[in-house]
Amino acid sequence: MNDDYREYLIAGEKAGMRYAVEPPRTASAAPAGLQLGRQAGASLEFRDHRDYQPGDDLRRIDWNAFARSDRLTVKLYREEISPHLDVVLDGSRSMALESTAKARAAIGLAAALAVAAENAGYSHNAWIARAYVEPVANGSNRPALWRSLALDFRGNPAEAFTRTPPEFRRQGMRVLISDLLWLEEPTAVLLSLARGAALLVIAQTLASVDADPPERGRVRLLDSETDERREIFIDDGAISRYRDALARHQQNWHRACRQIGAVMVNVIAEEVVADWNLRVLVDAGVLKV
Amino acid sequence: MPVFTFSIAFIALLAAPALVAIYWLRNQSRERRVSSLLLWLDERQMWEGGRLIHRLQTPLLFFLELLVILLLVTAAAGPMMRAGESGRPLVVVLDDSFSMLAGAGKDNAAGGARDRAIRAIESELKGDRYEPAHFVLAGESPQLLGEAANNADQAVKLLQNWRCGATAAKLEEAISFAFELGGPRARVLVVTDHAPQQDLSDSRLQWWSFGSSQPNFAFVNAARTLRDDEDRVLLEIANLSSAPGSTTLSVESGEPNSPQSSLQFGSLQFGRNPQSITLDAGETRRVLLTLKAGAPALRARLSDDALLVDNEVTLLPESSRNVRVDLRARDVAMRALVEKAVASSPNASLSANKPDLVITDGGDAKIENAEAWTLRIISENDAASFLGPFVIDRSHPLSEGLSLGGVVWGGGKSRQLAGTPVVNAGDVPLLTDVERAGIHELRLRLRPDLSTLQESPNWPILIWNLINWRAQAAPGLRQTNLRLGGDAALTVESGVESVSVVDPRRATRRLPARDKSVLIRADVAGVYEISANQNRYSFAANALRREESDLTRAASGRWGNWANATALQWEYRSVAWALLLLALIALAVHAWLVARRTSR
Repeated sequence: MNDDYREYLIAGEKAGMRYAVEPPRTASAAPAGLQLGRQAGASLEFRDHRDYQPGDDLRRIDWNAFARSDRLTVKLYREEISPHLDVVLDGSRSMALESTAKARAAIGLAAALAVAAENAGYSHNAWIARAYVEPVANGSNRPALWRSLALDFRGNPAEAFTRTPPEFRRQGMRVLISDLLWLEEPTAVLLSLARGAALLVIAQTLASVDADPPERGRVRLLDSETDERREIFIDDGAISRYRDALARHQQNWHRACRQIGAVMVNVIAEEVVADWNLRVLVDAGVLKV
Repeated sequence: MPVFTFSIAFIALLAAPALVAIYWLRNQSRERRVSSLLLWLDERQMWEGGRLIHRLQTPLLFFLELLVILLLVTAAAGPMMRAGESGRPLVVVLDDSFSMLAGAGKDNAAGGARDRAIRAIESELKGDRYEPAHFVLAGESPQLLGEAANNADQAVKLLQNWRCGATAAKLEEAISFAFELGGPRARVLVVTDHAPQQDLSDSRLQWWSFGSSQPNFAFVNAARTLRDDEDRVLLEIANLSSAPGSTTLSVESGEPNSPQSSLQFGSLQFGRNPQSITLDAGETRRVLLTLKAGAPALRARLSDDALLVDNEVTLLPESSRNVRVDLRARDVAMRALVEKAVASSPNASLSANKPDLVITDGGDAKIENAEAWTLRIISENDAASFLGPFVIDRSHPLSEGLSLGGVVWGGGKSRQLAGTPVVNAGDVPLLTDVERAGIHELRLRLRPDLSTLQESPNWPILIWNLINWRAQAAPGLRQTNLRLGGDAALTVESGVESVSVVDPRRATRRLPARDKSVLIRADVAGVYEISANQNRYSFAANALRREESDLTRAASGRWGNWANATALQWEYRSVAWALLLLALIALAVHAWLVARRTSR
């Protein structure tokens, strides 16, 4: 593994010491398997009733209530959450964009989340999404011991989630750290990630040059993953359209996340590594100090 | 080789460096690696900033565009190509006058006008295609130089025989001859040392001149005549320049470098110490010398200058062809008349030993010498005095200078007389000629008592003509000193079929004798030696012509253009359409390549 990546892991580990993963809802500090999530789930603790909607599990219909009110209602039970964190790191080459802090931020963020999970009494497991979503060697140990991290995949990691969905821990918390710069529909990826998860967090990590286009003038752009070249003339109009495109892209992801109950945060790598202040995750309710 | 009718169109080739600059400038951009091109895919604003710039493909597209530019520019220049495979006939008119030898001294590495002309002709024949190439020597009369040449090597070989040995170049006649020789498609190239006197009207004609204006001292006249047992020599030396100048004159007689080659001529001492002669611009100086009769060859030289060939003359003694006359007239009065007429002729002497001419008044006198000519004077009793008119065959050698007006010619009246009539009185022949194998037998009807012919100048003229005619028919050269380019006429003895001629360059050639006569062209200045069986003859040829020695009007340059519109119509066709077609094909390939790249 790249020695720089080891350094990033240590930096992230150090940063994560100040944080702890916040459970999806106020949860008891019960042993594993006893934490309750904010969402309705399949635990035995009854939470509420609501009207039947097509697609609801017929076993959950409250037939007594139907007999009383002639209305189909289903019983809602509090979700049972496993205290486990799966951190998935985008392994594509764009995450290691040269001359940026993108790799440092992404790897450090993964390490910080793992440490924060440990601080909250969670187990954790690290994954890397390349052609397949593969577990990182020693990914369940402290981040400094992770091995075989490589951000050099030339393909589209989104396909890995739909092609062979990974065996994440059920009812655990899952975090995807990626720049999300691919054309796939977000919903398919999110559904695959969210299936069986207590909480899904999408941390879009961009370099500052991803958020702001390069300097004006005649520029030959080189795609870091495909090496495709494209000559382009950049002026104010081009920059404006680029920002509009980025905003639309991020809005698509936010919309998709809202639909499936996932949390999405946007971080700028250079800002993260400047002081390793993870306030954006705290504000999103993912971490707590 | 293509010919371009609108060469100025080649200015458009400046588009080629412009194209190179466009490619160079468009390829100058900074490279920036980005996470993904995903967000740069919006190409809707084509004419605003941010539109994609497709890198120009090189080198294929570049070369295609360059090719299109070249094709279009070449097409715009009006390219014309030779139609058909066969070459066009070329006739080269060569100035054969000796002025073409000017500048051919040892000090001039470039050679004289002739040498430069040969190199230019060789270059032209190698650079373009001519089939065939004829060469016409323009001297006193046009003369074809060998067979036609089909390539430059053959032409150069032929041109070695271009000796520039004529005293004049009649170019107009030679050009007319060249056009007749080449036909309507032929081009004619005139190679000389002076500019044309008027504009060239015929587009098939080009005029190349290789001369240069230079001062020149020259012998412009030289003669040697035998008179009163002395050889008198006349030399004329001219300063053919626009400024006064000096030269040196040396005269030798005898073999070169012999002890007696230094001679005293009057007050002038010639020989190893040449005399300096100063002449004004254009002045001609005469030098008269006297030699003993029969003195050997006289050589006069001027110091070297622009033209060497006219700086030396050689004058040989005149050949004496004395005619021995055997007078067998029995009539005393007649004998006296004939003796008096023979004595007036310089080349005749009375001798009965091996006579060349027998004059007799015996009608049937037998002639022992088979080579001798005979004049039979017939005095008939049945005679009359004829007052004329007399009919004279003016083409006969005996009739030259005869004027019988007022003459009374007494002779026989019968209309019968053997031989071809030379002089008739009506239908009565008075003088006839019979020829047998070159031997002439003449019959003259004359009764002095009934005539005034013998008292008129016609009588010695007639006898002089007869002796001179006989002398010319005798073996030997008619002239021993000729001008360059002239023909030496040699009469040989019976039985001689050919003669051997050694020219001044010591080259030997054999010439056939026809009717006991041989004509030898003197195309090189100097002394020629002739061998005809046991006999030896010599004559000298000298470059003597003021107009050719005068180099002040010589010039260099080229006039006329074969590639003008009229000439082009004859053998060239435009190929611009083919170039445009190729340009369209190249553009189509270019468009296809660009479209294929865009679709990817």
